[in-house]
Amino acid sequence: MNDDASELKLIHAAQAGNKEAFSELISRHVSYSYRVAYSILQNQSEAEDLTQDAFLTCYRKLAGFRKESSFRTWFSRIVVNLCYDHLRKKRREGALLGKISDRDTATVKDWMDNVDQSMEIKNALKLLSDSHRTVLVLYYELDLSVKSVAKIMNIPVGTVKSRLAGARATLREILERG
Amino acid sequence: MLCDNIRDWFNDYLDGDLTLKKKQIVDDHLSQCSKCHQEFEMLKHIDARLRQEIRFMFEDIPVPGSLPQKIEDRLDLNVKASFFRLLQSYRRYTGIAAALIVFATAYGIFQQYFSSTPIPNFISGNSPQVIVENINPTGSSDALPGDSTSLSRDESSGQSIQNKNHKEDMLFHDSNLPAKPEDTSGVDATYSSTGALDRSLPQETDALPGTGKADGPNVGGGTSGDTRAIASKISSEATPPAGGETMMADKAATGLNNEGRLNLAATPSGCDPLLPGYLPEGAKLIKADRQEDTVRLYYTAGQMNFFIEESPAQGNKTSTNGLTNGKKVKINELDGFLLNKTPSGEIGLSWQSDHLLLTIQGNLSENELIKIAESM
Repeated sequence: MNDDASELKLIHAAQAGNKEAFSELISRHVSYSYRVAYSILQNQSEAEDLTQDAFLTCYRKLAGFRKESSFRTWFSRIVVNLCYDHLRKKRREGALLGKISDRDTATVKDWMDNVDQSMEIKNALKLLSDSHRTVLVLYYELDLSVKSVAKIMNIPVGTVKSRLAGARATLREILERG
Repeated sequence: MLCDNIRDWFNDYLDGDLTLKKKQIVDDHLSQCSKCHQEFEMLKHIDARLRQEIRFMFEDIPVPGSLPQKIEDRLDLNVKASFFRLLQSYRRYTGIAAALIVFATAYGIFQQYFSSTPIPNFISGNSPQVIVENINPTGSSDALPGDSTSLSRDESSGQSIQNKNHKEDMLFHDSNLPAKPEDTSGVDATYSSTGALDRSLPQETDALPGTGKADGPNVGGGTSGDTRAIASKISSEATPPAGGETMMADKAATGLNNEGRLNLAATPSGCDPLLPGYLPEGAKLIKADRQEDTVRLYYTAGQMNFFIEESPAQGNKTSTNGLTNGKKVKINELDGFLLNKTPSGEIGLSWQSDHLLLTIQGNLSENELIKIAESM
């Protein structure tokens, strides 16, 4: 039995209330969902909490999953939405306290200025602001469209496109320097 | 078009956010301009590399090993919490539920000790036990089995209780009362004693412990030469097999149609069963059955349960004279016999009307019993 078929069987069983089937879904998708959460939140404990919340939400909403997309895609949306709800809440609280994160407001130029010529691309990416990295993860890892990324992050489509273009330009510069 | 303008669209091209028309323009230009083509290929390479790096970075994110168990634990807690939330949502009704329980208990105690109306035993589902006891000429009840199967054998062998050479009578008998041997030799035959009565009650007689009924009260006592039919032995819990729920579960078995109306064929004699013109308030017909010539109609009204039995008189007369556990009554100028109320609250009435022997029995009042009888 291929993976898709076995996953479909698991989903059906979990939808029918089979706890073991849901546990198997957890073990299959916990790593991916945690990484999505961490990519967006850049904080281990928050990513853990949000991943747990996402699975609880998934448990409640699983009966409504119509299998129009893959389970991973459907579940990733839950994770991303929860992360962004969490971030919005944090930003509201931060704005009230006047503590808006510098990293969130950093530009591509800031990033490029910090990238050392000899720096590996991996390390260079770590210097990206949270919101920039999130755009890249959603676009490249989750294969979301520019419009979907903009919608999830509640930012203009143009902003998403400029961040993608800036990341390509920076990477090109690193590669050309090297 | 200038190369710079074309190159401005490269990122949109890679993002998949270029209109078909612009995409076609770019494709046409790239096929003609080697520099732009080289530039575009470079950007595509960067894009692929960036995707690869993002995926590496993503895969490198360490996942806490305890996370799956934490999720399982929270899931369990959440399920339990949901259950208690559900319970809490019903907390507002706990007072009402407690009041209902107290009321029901108090009502049960009141009924048990202060009311003559027994509480039907719905749990055991006991139905009234009815036997026909045939007393042979020697007065030995052992000669007659207590079950209807044996009785049928008697009939087939020509020793039917319908033997017209013997005096016959029928009386209600309460098993809780001590047998009162009576000399009925001089009584006038008023009631028809029929084997049909027995045949109409296969369930009840089947419920009896076989020949154990042979040691039942010897009503015949010292009456020699009589064949006496004793009908309707009412057990201490004796209520007609009400249990409306059980009975109505199978419409076909109740003898009623979907509207709850009588659905029995006419008797072999061609007569439809007589129905009472009067019924106590709320009384409903819940079952009707017919065994050969005998029809029995079961009614219920809350705690009240009774049945009406109709069987052909067949010309035999049974007497009420000499019976001491009841009294004679007049039902529309006809002689009837009303049995005293048993400790369990059961009373019975039997009389003959034209060609029918009619019996009403149940835990209803004497007044109601007479009114039903007179309405038939």
